[in-house]
Amino acid sequence: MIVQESMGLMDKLRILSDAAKYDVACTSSGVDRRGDGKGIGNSIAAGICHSFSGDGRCISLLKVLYTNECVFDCKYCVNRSSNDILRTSFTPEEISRLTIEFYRRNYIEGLFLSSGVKRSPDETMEELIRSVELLRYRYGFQGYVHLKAIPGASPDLIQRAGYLADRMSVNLELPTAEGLKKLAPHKSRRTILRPMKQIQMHQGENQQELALYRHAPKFVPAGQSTQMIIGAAGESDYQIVSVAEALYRQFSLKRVFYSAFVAVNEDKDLPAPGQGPPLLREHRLYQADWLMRFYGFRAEELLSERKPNLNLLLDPKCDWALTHLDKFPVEINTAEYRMLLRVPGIGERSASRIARARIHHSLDFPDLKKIGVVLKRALYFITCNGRMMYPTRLEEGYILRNMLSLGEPLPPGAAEENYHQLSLFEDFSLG
Amino acid sequence: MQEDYEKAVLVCEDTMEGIFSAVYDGWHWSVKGCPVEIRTEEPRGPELFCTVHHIPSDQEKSEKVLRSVRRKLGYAVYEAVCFAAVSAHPEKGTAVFRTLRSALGYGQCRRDILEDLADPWVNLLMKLRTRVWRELDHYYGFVRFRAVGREILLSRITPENDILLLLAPHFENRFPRENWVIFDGRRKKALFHPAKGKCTLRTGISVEELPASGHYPERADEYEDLWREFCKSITIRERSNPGLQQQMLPLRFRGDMPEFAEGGSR
Repeated sequence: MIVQESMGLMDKLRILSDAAKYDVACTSSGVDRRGDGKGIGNSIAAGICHSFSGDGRCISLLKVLYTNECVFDCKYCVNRSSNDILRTSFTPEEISRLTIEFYRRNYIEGLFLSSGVKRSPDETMEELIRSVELLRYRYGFQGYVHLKAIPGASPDLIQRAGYLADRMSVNLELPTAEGLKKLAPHKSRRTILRPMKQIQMHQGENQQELALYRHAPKFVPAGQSTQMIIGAAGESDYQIVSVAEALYRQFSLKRVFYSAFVAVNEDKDLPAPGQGPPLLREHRLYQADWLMRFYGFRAEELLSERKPNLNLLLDPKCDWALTHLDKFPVEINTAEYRMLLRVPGIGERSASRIARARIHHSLDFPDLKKIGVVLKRALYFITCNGRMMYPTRLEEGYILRNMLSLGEPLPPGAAEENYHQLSLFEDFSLG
Repeated sequence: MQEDYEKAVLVCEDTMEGIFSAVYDGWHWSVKGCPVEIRTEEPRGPELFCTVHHIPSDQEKSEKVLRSVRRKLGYAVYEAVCFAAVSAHPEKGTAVFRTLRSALGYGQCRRDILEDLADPWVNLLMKLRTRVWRELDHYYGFVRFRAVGREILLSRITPENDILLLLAPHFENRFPRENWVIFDGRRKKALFHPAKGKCTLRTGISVEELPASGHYPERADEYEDLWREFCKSITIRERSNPGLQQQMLPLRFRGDMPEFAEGGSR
């Protein structure tokens, strides 16, 4: 392992931010905290994006590793101990200084500090805590801090970190225990889930405390998140989605992030490099994630053992609707809000607009357009006062064909009568 | 008597104060039944059946209008008219006036006026409000300060709408102990914030008059180089997507951002 002791700040920043880029979370949301006028910074609940990198992802936090020296040998990671790369570490002074100087110039919303495991998890965790302590106490920093909990660090260190940070996260990395064993031999389900549970429990206690004493110190006020790598160990979408659901339910996580696997190492246990990251699959998983968090879907509604993977061609909601055509068409003027949310093409905003507008008068298709409901997908699944927008058929094959021919403004049946080639074998079930 | 019923075109200063002074003065024409238009520029050609009045800005009048909007119509309407009043749209003054007139005129007090999107003026007002709000939200993130001298942070912005004053509360709360200046390069005005003090707005300022402006273009800030390096190395090359980047961060903001100067984070 090459460890360079004397390295300029510029080189350290390049190496350690390059190593941190595969961490997806860059959110600065979840906490509203006004500055008290004595230090520097505040925090806005909606989060603020300060820039966007060349891959289109938002840059809102200074996302760096404290060190890329690592004793773990996770096969998917650039910093695995068996890789021959340049290693370096920040010092707590450098980290806090850099954060403050960036923050003053309004480059960032705060700090996202992660780290490789230097010598032992406890030692690393302590250095992370020291960095944030400097930031909070010496510089009076009141902006956002996201801290990684190092798997295997002792509970009292996690607890100390929780009072300094706004959000904490422990990466689950792989959804199955076997995958974890194969690809991250130094991590285990236990060392990952234990800090997660601890943070959740303590957060619950903290809520009680805050109810009694308004000014009690807050423990991880923006909640915790985690991340899973997609497409490294051959797990199915069903497994991923069920794990995510369990995490939301049992660990009350704020977010689960999905990271399309980028091949940085060659290893016999990893997919061959050169295929590019599975970006579309990642996108579909995020869509499914949204359906579970905001649209009242359950994991087993979207996927099952028999249908283990999401349809890459269609978004998961469309896919669900096509296999549940018995629930459609939905009447816009009378349907329950929960059912409106399940119509493809109608999101939370459209559904609530419909719900508010239909109190005053019944809605027709022009009204829907006027209040901003996009009908491109929805028109196959809804009726207004009993009528559909165009003479469409409620058939899986027909709708699917139209959905896939994207860019077509109207379905073929819109202008004239819709003709369908008769086939003896399909239409009359002969043969 | 005839001219009492002609359209009244009020020309006022292009500031929040100017617009709301015109709203105050326009009210009595409107009560008499004349249609009122508020403009921030002189009408180009001659127009039939209308009289042009020049309205001087008056702080007291504008405060009176804003106070009663806030008290009678609530904070949401107050915010909407303030945002619309700083937009760059030529008909913003008329939109603000007609909206307030249909909310408060004829002895009414319609607190839900913003939901009346069928009214073309309310509709326009809401569009302007959203546009200004979006730009403001962008600038919360995209304002870039440069350290000049030892103690001063200087920033230049070129916003489409006149949002400078709306930025003040956010940055005042965020950097209370810093001396900072935000300079609107398009409108030649600047927001000055002394450490631990209150913000002041000064108009008619050129770049040369800014504090330590001698340093501004030449002496680079070392942290700008670090920031550029960071933006470059945080990009995952395998996921490169400049189209998405441009959608989220349009080109018009990039002129004032160091990470896009000389090569930037492509």
